[in-house]
This record gives sequence, structure tokens and C-alpha cells, in this order.
Amino acid sequence: MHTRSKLAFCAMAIGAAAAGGCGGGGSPGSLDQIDMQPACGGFDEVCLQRGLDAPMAVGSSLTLGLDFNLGGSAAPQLSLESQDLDVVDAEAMTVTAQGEGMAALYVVADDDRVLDFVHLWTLEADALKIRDYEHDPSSGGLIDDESTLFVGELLRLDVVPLGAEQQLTGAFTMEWSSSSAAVEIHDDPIEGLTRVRATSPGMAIVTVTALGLSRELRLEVVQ
Amino acid sequence: MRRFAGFASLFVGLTAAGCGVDLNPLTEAPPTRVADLDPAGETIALSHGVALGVSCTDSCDGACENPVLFAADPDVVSVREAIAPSVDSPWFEVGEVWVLLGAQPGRTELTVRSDCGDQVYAVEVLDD
Repeated sequence: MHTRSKLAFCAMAIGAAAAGGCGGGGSPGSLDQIDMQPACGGFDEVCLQRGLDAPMAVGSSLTLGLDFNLGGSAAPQLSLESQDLDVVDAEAMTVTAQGEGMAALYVVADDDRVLDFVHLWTLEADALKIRDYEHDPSSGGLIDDESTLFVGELLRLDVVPLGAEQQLTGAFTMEWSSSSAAVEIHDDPIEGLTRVRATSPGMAIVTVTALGLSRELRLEVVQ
Repeated sequence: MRRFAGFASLFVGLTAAGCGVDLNPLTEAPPTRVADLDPAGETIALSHGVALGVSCTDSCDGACENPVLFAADPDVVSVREAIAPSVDSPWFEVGEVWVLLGAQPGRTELTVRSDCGDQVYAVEVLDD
């Protein structure tokens, strides 16, 4: 079993360069005083493009950076405060989706007044899709459930959760395993990616488990 | 501008009413949810879980001096003081700001009070 944390932060410069940067699309607060920037993994395109506008997968987390639009002032000490802990909880600057729904998230100053707020949406993931960045480095092409690899060939995979057929955002832990020694599984130097290398002829079922779901790849390795 | 849509109603409230105080919406509901504040009808409708930024104006000098905002049933609608956004306008200042939250479905009353007067709003928090 191989455990990998998806996209907790933008780890590698190469990943950031490939995907366009660490910070996600800024989501302005309702009072226009703060832009909330989720820290996206280098390959979390949903996070990078849509910021907090994309639903979070239940069970995933996002760490927020705050950019301020306060005239003539730096920011006071701030904290995040969820208004529905059954949907989202907040600890320090990290929010975690606890259940399906919508919750208002307040940014609160040290005098207990609200500086700004956003509404977060969460969805249960109902499917996982696997993308391969080795053969499609720019956008990560979807990989077929059954593929043939040559010995020595490499896949660099990540997992995207889907809910109601839309891509969800958020960082989460995933576990990779192989049914045989025909392939080996390793961490990729880029955070969020996992390497699957064909090592010897044979069949292997590679399974990834995340967010309570699993997805299998049937790989035939040939000489 | 999408935000601060309520500023237009600010002047209506100042000029159309007698002595009184009004709340004005500063923010909008998220998609598929409701956050309607009707100063003329003195009603507020909020979806469960939706937050709405509001400010007050009054018909004395518009400044809404020493305002207080409170809900008869804070379990239905919660009221939180907020830090007023700065607005680049020579015509008005936002003044005091609060964030209302539809905390649970139900009905209650919300009172805004300033040195100029009181106004009571009928609030309904919708279960959606």
C-alpha cells in the first residue's frame, strides 16, 4: 500500500511552472475586503482555475491565503469561523469539508467583528478519475481503465474526484496499491503525483482509494 | 457593480420615509439561495445558512447614529457586527455594518434602532 497526500501545498517549482502557479484563483469575499486564495497543488486545475468557486469534496481540505483590500492598513489578526460545522470546519487557515451542503465562512478580526465572508459549497465525491501526466504533461490525459505498458514505461498519475459529474476541489489522502510485482508504485517528486513503473511482464491491477471511493487500472506489461 | 447593490436603495430610504431607520443590503445571496431585504416592505427572507451583509441609514441625517441591531430569536437569525468596507464615494459612508445569518428555518423579528428611531423587520429563514 502506498499512501500519498494529494495537493496539500504546491511543493515543487516544476509543478507550479507546469500548472501555472501555487495560488488558486482568488475568490473575493462578499464585502470585497478580502480575496481568499486556496493553496492549490500544482496539478489541481479546478482549484487553480476556480478557487473557492468550485465545490469541495467532502473529506478534503483547503488551506486559504488571504489577500487584503484594506485601504491604508495591514490586516489585523484574523481567524476563520464556519457557520455550519456539519458542512465545513475551520482550524487556523485550513477548512475541511465535513458533509454536503453550503456554509458561510466568516473571516473574523481579533475584536470578534466580521471582516468578510464567503459561502462554501461541498459535495460528496461519487467517482474518481485518474489522469496521466507522463503522456500528457500539460493537462493530464484521462487514462483508460485497461492499458498496456512496455517494461520500463512510466505513468505519472493523479486523481480527480467527481461529484454530480463536476470536478471537485480540495486536498485529500489517497492510497495506491498493486496486485502484482509487474509494476512498482513510488512517489513522484511533484507533490500530488504518483509514479507507476512497469517492471516485468505480466498483469497488474493498480487500485487507488480516496475519499471513500476506489478506482482500478488493469495494466498489462509486455516486453 | 454587483456588490453593494443596496446603496441605490439607501437614498430611497432617506428621502421617501419620515423619521425612521432602514437597513440596506450590501451583499447578495449565493446561487440558488435567497437573501432578500426589502426596506419598504420591512421584510427579510434568508435561506438557511446564507449570510447577508447589511448597513443602516436613517432619515435624520442619514448617519444612523449609535445603531443597535438585534433579533427577537437569535437561534433563527444571528447578528454579528462587521467591519465596514471602505467605499470610494463622496456621497456617503457605509457606517455600521452587520452580517445576518439564517441560522435555522423559522420566523422572527429583527429590530434596528438608532438615535433617529426604530424599525422592525419581519424575518423568515427558509429551509432550502
